[in-house]
Amino acid sequence: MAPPTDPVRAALDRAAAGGRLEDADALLLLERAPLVPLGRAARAVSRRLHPEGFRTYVVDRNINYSNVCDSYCKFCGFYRVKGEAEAYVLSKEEIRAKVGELKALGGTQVLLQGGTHPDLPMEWYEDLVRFFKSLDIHLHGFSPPEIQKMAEVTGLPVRTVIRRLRDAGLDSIPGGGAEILVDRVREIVSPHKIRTEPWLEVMREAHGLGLKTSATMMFGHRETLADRVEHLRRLRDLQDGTGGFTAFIPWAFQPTHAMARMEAAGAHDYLRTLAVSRLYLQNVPNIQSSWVTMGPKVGQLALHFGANDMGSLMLEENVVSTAGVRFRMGVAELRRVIEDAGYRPAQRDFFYRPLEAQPAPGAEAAVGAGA
Amino acid sequence: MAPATPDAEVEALAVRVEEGGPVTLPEAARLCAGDVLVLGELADGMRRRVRGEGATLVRVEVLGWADAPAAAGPEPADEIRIEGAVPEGATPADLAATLSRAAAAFPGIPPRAIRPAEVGPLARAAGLTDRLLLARLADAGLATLAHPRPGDDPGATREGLLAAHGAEMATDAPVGFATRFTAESLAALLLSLRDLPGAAGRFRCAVPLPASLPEESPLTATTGLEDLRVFACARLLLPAAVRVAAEAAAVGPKLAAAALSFGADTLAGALTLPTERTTPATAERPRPFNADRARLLLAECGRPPSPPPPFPARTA
Repeated sequence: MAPPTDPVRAALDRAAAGGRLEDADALLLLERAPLVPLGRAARAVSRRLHPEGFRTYVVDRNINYSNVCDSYCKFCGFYRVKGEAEAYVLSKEEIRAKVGELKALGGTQVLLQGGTHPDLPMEWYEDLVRFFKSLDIHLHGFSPPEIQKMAEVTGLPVRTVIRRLRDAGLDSIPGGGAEILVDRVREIVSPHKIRTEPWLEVMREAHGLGLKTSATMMFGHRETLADRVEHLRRLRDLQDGTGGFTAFIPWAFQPTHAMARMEAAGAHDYLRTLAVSRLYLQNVPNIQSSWVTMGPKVGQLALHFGANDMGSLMLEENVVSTAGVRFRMGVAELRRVIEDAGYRPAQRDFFYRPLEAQPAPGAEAAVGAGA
Repeated sequence: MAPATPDAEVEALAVRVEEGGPVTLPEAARLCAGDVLVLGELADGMRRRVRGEGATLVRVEVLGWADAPAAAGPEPADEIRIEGAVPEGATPADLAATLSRAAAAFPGIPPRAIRPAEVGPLARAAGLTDRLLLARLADAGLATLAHPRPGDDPGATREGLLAAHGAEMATDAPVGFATRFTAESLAALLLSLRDLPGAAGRFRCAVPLPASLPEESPLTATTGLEDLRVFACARLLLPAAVRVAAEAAAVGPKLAAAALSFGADTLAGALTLPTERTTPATAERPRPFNADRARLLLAECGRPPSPPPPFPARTA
């Protein structure tokens, strides 16, 4: 049989079979691949990496320990300047109550994030981490911008900051603050925040110290499609070296604050970007759906466009909500959309291990019985 | 819905239907039970063949029965929609007067009003046949019927559509569905529309209409995959002359945009309201789905917008 001459088809077939996409292929797919064939290829990769008949979600809570931040990102409506009336730092009592609510609902982890606080000392963060760990919960905390800020404020090397947080009990680090890992874009949307190399350095050091992390991409603002590919390439290259990323979460920018006049990416752009991410990042085990920004309907579609996880139940979510995004789903709803997509829903832990008993191998229905 | 039909069989059935071959209800059900991405790819292929690469954009001006129509804004409308329940006790003359006011305010823009299930009761109240009522309203400017709502009686809806066709009025083909539908029920509905006398000539658009609002909980609302299955199957099973329209208000703008890759060739319901330039403190969320947003979504899909074709002229 003659090889396909259509470069889009050739790239899709190569990636679906497990081949590594070149940057030019990824850009071609972003620019030209028809949506549904792209989704089929991404779904094939997802099913090969995850032949199990279940798809997962995590019950966690996004606790923002403080909204004080001096990065002043143009797309953020959540931050407050230190001293403003609405600026806060959560007390331990408030944190204890939030974690108690989370555990009562079967939650297994806290996503702990704040801003880049201008003067909290390292000991404050260590004490915070130790307090969380005293509550017996997986702590998925901070982000590269926050860690770099800690290094700046304390004068400590990034590696030392991460090691001290790890030794205090930090379990893993979220991939927030990535936006687009291209400095030209970061200069436009978040000029006062960590640049690409330092972001990657934080993750490299974290992986080297045994901490797993996730990675994100906020797209649909000032970046080009080529910028998205470069973002993916930086992550893939780092993952080749460290293997420390557990998951990748692409999500669409939500217009707010200084960027309120922009438009959010639609479902087409989201699903296309998600699918290309799955095809390109075959060395990252998990891809999460962003139903919080895209809604339950499109969030569900993600399970057939490369995602294998529905992300978090989000008992609390403050940052995206300030952009006016109001999608909410409970456990029953999350499970319903997963089931309707043709999979068994399974609550998981941070390491994507199902917390529910699964059928023995061989007793599973064949993958491909999805909708 | 777990796919029960092998991809090859789905493809063979789709090819046969598109070529005009007969299809039985069991065969249509087997097609509707296929993998949703396979169905989508087949439907998108058919859409390209019958419609090309563009997409029809339907911009709407929405009026109430009691509204005094404002002057047309800077964005022209492709359709006027008179929405809301018909005022109690309204006579055909009252309805015609509203239609005339709409026509005066928006000359040349076809108005859509009155749900199919409302036709019978209105006609009986006026002592007219369904067909005669619609013929009189058509003479007053009514271009087509409004879309059914969840809860409208299916039999009354069918009768209303048939009456409209009898009055030489083209309508949309409503494809109503609730969550957890079966492949058999979807196939039966689509074949009933396909087999309606004169369907190819009198149906302008097939319009998938979930029996739930897009913002409802997934426990009661249709899911995204269910919606897209209906779009794809509507494209595959209905005559090529019938367009497939994604109504933004019915499925949500996000899903409507996705439907354009699952057989839909029309994005409808874009308001003519200008995009509001607001500060975050006063920004309305979600923003109204307007023509600016619609054009952005079409550009994302690589589908240049085109206006809807004119309503066929009545010969009665």
